[in-house]
Amino acid sequence: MQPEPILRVRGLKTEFQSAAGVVRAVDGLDLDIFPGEIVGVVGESGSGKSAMAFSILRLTPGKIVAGEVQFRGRNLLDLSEAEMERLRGDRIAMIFQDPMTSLNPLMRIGSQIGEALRYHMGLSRRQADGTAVQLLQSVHLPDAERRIHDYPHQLSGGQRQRVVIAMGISCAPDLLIADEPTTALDVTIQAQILNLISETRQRSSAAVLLITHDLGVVAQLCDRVAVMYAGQVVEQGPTTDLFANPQHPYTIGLLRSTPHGRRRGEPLRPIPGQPPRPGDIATGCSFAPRCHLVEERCHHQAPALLQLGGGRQARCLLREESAHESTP
Amino acid sequence: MSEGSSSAPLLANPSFPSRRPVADTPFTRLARNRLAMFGLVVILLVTLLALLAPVLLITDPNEINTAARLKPPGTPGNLFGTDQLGRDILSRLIWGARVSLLVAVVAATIALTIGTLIGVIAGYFGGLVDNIFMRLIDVLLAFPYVLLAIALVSALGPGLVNAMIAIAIVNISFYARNVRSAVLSIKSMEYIEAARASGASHARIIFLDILPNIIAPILVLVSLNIGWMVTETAGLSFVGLGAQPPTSDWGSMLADGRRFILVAPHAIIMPGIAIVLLVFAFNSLGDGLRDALDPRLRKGGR
Repeated sequence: MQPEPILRVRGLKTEFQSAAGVVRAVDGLDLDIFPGEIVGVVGESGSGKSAMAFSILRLTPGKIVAGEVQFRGRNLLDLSEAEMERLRGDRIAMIFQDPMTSLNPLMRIGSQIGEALRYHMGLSRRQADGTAVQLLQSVHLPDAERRIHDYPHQLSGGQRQRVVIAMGISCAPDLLIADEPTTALDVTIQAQILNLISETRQRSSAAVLLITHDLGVVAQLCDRVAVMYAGQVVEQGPTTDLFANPQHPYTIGLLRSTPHGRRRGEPLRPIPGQPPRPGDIATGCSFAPRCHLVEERCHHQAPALLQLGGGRQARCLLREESAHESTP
Repeated sequence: MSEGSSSAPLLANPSFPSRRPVADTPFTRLARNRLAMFGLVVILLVTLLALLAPVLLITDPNEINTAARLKPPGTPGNLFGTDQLGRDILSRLIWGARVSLLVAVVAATIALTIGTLIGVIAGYFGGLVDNIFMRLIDVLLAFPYVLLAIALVSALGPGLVNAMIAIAIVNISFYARNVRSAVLSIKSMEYIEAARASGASHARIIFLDILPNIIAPILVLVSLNIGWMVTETAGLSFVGLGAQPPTSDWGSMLADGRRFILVAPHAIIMPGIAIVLLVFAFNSLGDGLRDALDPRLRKGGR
């Protein structure tokens, strides 16, 4: 009864060459995204969120060494570069973090939105301009007919991010990857942009992969969440369920270290220690050194991603019993 | 203010600037820059004179008049005086401008084209390609500019065309390195990544995102470089490797006048001023262009 996932990532591993040697930023990542849903990916800086996004589009400066990225039944890692170019921006689009730098300063807004329309959909300049106006109206940029003649520096940060989103949805992609789309904006604009993303999803039925480190954003917007740690998904599940009843000690730690209205007055409890540097070679569970529930076996045995039922998954040895219970 | 509008035009609404925008384009900004305009006027004037040299009512630059040798400036019929063979210096300067400009512009075009091609490819693709190109450029750079030009002309044989080729080759490294570094700073911008993520090919990105964003620095480079090439053309002619007699060229005029510096200083002062003026004009225009082309100085941003 579950529909086919639009994106199915299995065992993705991406490595970077650095002065310190080979660094594995994405380490065996599994992720499914179904049509029309918003999936949040959360994790600390350096947990591999962006590296994963760029790996899906095959734009990572590192090297994808293993795994597969099935998109609508095709493995993107097998496609030629020309086929990838046809797919990027058309079927999978990406929205970047900083709207101040993600627009070409010398290209008018209209031409910039129209570019992708012209090469993916073969529109003429005039048609592309018309579509650009419609797109800008759909992202609620006032005065769109005039705005397409503006340069990026004539727009505010929030307006630019609206333009960036308009560019992202211009070819009606099946998957929209948003890499921390609100981080560079102030809080009131953040809320507007998040509403816009959710509205866009409803209208265009695109699935959205939302990368963020803001749990509040996830709670507000996402249908499902994937929690990343050290290049792996450590817990995954429907948002409300996962926040109400976190299974992985890392998720528990993350939630405890985030302010919440219902726990007013309680002190925030940060997770001790530092995330492992990507170069560190660990045996056993990568979270074991910081885990408050750690057991002896955690240091030797690497946990698998366990099915917990109800669409929940967690990568923790301590959940093995409940995993058996839920999958008889 | 100047259009003499009705009552209290500014005080009526002090918090809003005039709704009628003052035109603010690269051209208006360049036009407001006095030094750059001075440079532009000088360049246009010299170019015009050079182009019109054949139809101007001036004496033949090669007409020898041994009776009127080394006449000082102001002599009737010889406004800038004459040289050691009695040739009219003004006329020779005007004809010499053709040589200087032609060699500089053609050499700059050749060097710019090849240098930009190398710089863009090396900077954009990076890695091994970058390494190979830049090591070749380093080889060029290892020679002092003038020495390399002299060596090239010596190998090719003296003459204007060969001097031009030599100057062009010598300056490829200048464009390649500067263009490469401009490309590197643009390449790390998020909008290049965004263009890749929207499915743009490398060629599209180079032509739509990279090149337009480095045009400003390239124009400045060209303007500064042409000035330098004028000097270099004169330099090659000065040592006898550029324009061959009797062709008048600013550099060979300097070389000829040098021997009479004490008795007839105007014979080197006049071509000297011409060179300095033209080089200065190109440099100030280059600076003005750089300021005018930076869109971040444009009004209307927030």
